[in-house]
Amino acid sequence: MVEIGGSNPKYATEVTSVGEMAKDFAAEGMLVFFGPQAPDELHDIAIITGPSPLVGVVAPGDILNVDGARFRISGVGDRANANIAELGHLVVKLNGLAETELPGDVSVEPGELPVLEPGIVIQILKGL
Amino acid sequence: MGLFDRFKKPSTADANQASDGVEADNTATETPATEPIETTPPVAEAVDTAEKPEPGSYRKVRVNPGRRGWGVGLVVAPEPGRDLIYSVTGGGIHPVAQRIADMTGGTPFDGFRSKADFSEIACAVIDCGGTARIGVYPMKGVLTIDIHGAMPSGPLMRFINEENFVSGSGVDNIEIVEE
Repeated sequence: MVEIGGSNPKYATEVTSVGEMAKDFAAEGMLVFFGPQAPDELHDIAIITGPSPLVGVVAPGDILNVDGARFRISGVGDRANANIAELGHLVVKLNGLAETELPGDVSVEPGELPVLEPGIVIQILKGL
Repeated sequence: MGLFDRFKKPSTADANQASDGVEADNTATETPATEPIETTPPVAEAVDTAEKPEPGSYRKVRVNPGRRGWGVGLVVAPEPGRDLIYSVTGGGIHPVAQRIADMTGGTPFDGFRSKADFSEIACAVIDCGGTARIGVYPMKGVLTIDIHGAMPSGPLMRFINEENFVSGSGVDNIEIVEE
């Protein structure tokens, strides 16, 4: 598990690959993550991350940290926590919604995304 | 096997920790994040032996949309060399995939644990809310069954149609197609 400064993240992992289509989705305000066991066909469309446990339930008000860029989580779909725990699967939408569009979504306040590349760290931190 | 057993992933220590951590938190918050959404079907029961084809032979099934599902249904017809019922779901082989395999004589396959060529896949079973997996398998030409009642959506929506996708399907929405 990746250790980065800050107070005990609920989730912390490192990007290992970024699919070509995943970059297109990011440009549309959508990040699709899958853990290391994702089959090959998902590597094109997803940002693949290392193995990492989910150690706390993600909730609105928490902070998503993408390589130092911080986004406040506005809404968490009913399936989102199970997806992260089971598959390392996280769908982030930069739409600022409190009620997510889909049950797997984690909605965050819009903002500027950093360059997505292998080695960057993804964290979810408890909100203040 | 209870519903929660599906969420216990024996594959790695990390996955076990992850599931346990969330379930432990759930008991405290009384809002279980791992509670399956209501389209999740009950665990498959043993299929009557009369429904199972002889070893080495296959039968066709029709997978219909669930009550809140989308689509008109798909016919899944495994054949030699193309008989994998490819489950790309949390918690291992999904009961819907197991049921299709039992009824058709196809081979249940966990896409998160092993690799397969698309040419070997008779159908994919996913538990996708509507963003990523929902479009990937239709895009690759694979018949796709979403156990959630999602309608075509997501960035790959243009690849999804009634000929390659059905949703909301549970174990009770699968029927033998008589020849």
